[in-house]
Amino acid sequence: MSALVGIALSLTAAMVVAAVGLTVFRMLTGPGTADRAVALDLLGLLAVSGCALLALGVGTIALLDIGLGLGLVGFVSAIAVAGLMARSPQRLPEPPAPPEPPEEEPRT
Amino acid sequence: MTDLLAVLFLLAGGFVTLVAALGVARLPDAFLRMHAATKAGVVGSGLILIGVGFAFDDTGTWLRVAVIVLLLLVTTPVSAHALGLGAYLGGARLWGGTTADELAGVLRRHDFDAPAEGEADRRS
Repeated sequence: MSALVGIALSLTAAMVVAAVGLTVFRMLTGPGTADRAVALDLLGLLAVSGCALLALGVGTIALLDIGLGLGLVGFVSAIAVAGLMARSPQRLPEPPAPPEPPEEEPRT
Repeated sequence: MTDLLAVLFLLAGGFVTLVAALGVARLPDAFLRMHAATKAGVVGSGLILIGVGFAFDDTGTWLRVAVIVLLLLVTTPVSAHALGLGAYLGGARLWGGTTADELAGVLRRHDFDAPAEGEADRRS
């Protein structure tokens, strides 16, 4: 790794860390659950970038595999939170009336 | 040559990532924030990954980078769509400058952030 790549790596890592700071700010102050879920989605992407930068800094390609796993987990968690928001009414509807007992067959 | 390309892709990816996070922090609405987070975020991560691939420049790294970028390109639109639908149904507030809400009257929204029954009594 040449010195030029090292400098670029440091600058990029600083930018990613600043991005993480902004995203965490939105996650802490976001007025609603939807804002926090969006910030969580972006944090997953930033974690993948961070894993790639760490792999370059340390020189271990295996760290990219961790980025792959983090990308998969981030996708599943975003889908889970979205499903929770989409189908969870706060006030549950009245439970359905119990079914009428079947009419007894006339005994013959 | 590959070092120069690596520097270029890394810096471009870092810049786009920073713009994405700035959008998430500054835009006024959950839907606009989702727009910034998913589109710009996946471009920034992809550029950083391609830059790392140029910096290592061997077959194993390129293979992993290709797999991760393809995975992000496939899964991020799906998660963005699901998050948008969840935010709309969960009653995320629309920005005041929104001019068109095509789904008003089509989908029923509820208030996901409202306190549940009984919880409001405990808080007061």
